[in-house]
Amino acid sequence: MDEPAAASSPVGRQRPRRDSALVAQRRTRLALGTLLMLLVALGGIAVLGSGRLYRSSQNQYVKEAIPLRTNARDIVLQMVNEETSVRGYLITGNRDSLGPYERAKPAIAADFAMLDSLARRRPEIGGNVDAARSFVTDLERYFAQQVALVAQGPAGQRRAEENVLDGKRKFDQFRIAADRLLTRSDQILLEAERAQHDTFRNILGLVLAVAGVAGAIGLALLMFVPERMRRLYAGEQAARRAAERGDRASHALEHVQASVALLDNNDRVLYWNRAAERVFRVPEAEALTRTLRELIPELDLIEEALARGGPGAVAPVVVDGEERWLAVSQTTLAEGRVLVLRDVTTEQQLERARGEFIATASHELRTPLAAVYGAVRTLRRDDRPVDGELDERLLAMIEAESARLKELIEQILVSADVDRGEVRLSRETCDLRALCESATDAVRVHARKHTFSVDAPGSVLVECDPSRLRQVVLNLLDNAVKYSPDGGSVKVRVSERPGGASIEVSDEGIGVPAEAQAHIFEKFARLDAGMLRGVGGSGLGLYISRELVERMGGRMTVRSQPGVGSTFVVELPRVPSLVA
Amino acid sequence: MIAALERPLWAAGGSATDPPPQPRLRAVGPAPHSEQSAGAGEHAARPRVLVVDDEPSMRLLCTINLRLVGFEVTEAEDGRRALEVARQESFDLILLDVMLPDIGGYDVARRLAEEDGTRHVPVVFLSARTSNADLRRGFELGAVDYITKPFDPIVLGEQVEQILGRVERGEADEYRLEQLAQLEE
Repeated sequence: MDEPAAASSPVGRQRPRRDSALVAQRRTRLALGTLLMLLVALGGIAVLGSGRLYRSSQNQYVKEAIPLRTNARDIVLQMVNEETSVRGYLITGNRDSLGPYERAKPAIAADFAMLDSLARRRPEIGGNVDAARSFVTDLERYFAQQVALVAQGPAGQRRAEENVLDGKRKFDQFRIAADRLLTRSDQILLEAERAQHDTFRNILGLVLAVAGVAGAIGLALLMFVPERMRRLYAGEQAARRAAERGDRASHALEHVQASVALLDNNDRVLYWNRAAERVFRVPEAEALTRTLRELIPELDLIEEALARGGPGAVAPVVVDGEERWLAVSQTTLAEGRVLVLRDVTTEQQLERARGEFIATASHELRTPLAAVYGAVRTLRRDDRPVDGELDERLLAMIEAESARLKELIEQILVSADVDRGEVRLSRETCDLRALCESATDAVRVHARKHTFSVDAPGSVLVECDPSRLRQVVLNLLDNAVKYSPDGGSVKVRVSERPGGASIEVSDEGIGVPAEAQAHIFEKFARLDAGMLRGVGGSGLGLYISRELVERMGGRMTVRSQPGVGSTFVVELPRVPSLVA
Repeated sequence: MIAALERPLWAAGGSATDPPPQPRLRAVGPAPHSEQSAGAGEHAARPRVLVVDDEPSMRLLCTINLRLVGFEVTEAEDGRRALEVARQESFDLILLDVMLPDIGGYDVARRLAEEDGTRHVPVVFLSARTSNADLRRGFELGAVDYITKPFDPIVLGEQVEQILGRVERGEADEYRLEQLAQLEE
């Protein structure tokens, strides 16, 4: 029995189970083969037995007992006929009465010939036949003598009558011998019957024995095979389920966005999912033969990040010259470890931008706050000389810087609303020329180094949210001033377009480098992200402006040449198709 | 070129023509002022400060408050002008904003340190950039102090006097390294 061995070893479960299945198969085959052979034997025995039975009965009855009895009886009958015929002749002297006698003689000879042939088959009756024959011969001789005497005339007839007693004695002796022969035939019949019983009993015994063995084997098979089959089937099913689970698990892992690597204790790759193939540009087939260090040169950085753990478990990895940030985590197993590397480059960039935004916002809020606080503290100085103009300037400073603070906070809140899609826009008919002129007037006050102009063919009417659009134009004008520190002209041009209108704001400032043009509308984007120099800004203005314009059904683009200037274009439909 | 306009009293940025000294201010000023008066009283010339900031309101606040406690103040509105003025005139201290539209404050400080004529002028950063990294960078560039916005202009003069005191006593570098060590923690 290798069954317990199979159960005790969880590692090599597969092989012993297959072996035990083979053993079970061999055993079942053997049992079924034996059963089949036994059934064939049973059939053989039945055929043989019935043949034997048939033959024995035929032999004994048909060929021996019945002919023996018939012939013996016939001899008795013929002898009675002869005797009656000869007696009749003796009384009548008429030769015609000898007919039965003459006819009986060949019949008796034929009967004895038959008995002789039977005696050859069964020598034990030979004695009885011979005895009967000697008495018959004796009687025949006597009959012949009597017939001869009667034929001699009356004297002979008398002598013949004297012989009758002797003849009667001879006939009685013959009757005894004939009875013995009949008894012998009865014995043979009995014997045949007994032999038949014996044969039947033997065959029955044999059949019962074979059937018993076959039944035992059948019963054993009935008891073991279904259970064994159930167990084998259950085992196979469990194995199949486990395999299917494994298949599904790896299928799922294939579609996970994170890179997953299963490593053995020597850091050799045992599994490498599709995301890992994508991130590290190494196909699984190639990865499987190598260690992780060969695949990821920056493994030390990853190990350090793993040691740090928590939210700080992020490591930079350079793939194809591009820096990717990976959030790493691992699970240690007895036979190795599972490493999960999630590409968080986008999140990391967003996080960095958010960090920069906080730094920017903090700086941007601190600047006007410093002015407000400074002005208030200065106004509070005891040693301050009385000077109305100075007081007025400090109050104006407080006013302007508070407005700037409010504007900044507004921008931060609007950007949060824009992110959540919670900006509600009104819809009114508004004149773009009037709107641009008013916005320009507001900016002109603070920008003494710049000249402003608004160019419009007349009233240009579109449906939009005027206060939001004014915010957009103000932002573009502010940017134009901010990014042309040496002054210059700021031109606003309003024009009709098919199906709508456009507003262009141009400056003669530092411009936007080509590579930055794609990014300046992104959230927290700043021309000078490091803020080492240049002008302040929350990095939200253009982001908010573009979002607002797009929600009004329009679009916003930029044309710029560094050192020459920038032109921002707002295109608006005459009637906006509602954007959710 | 010196930023701004010749205006009565405080309103303007500094210029070569100084307003008359303010002895009464020193008289009514708090304790450090009287110390300052004791130390600097012997010298005829008042300490000269260059304020560099692109925000007119910041320049105005610094100028008013420093002049009130007896400093002579000159203003510059960007990096280029700051360098020009620093090369042309001599200052006891430069209050330098970090974010300037043309040449950044860090660059201005580096250039000042590179030139023989300006190397000796102590630089104090005055910035709304307040992260440890910013402060460390400032001190690493040789700044003798780093004042973060918003600041209280009433004590600005006092702060500047203390800084000048450290410079005079030769303790400025020690203080700078101390600050750097603290920032490393």
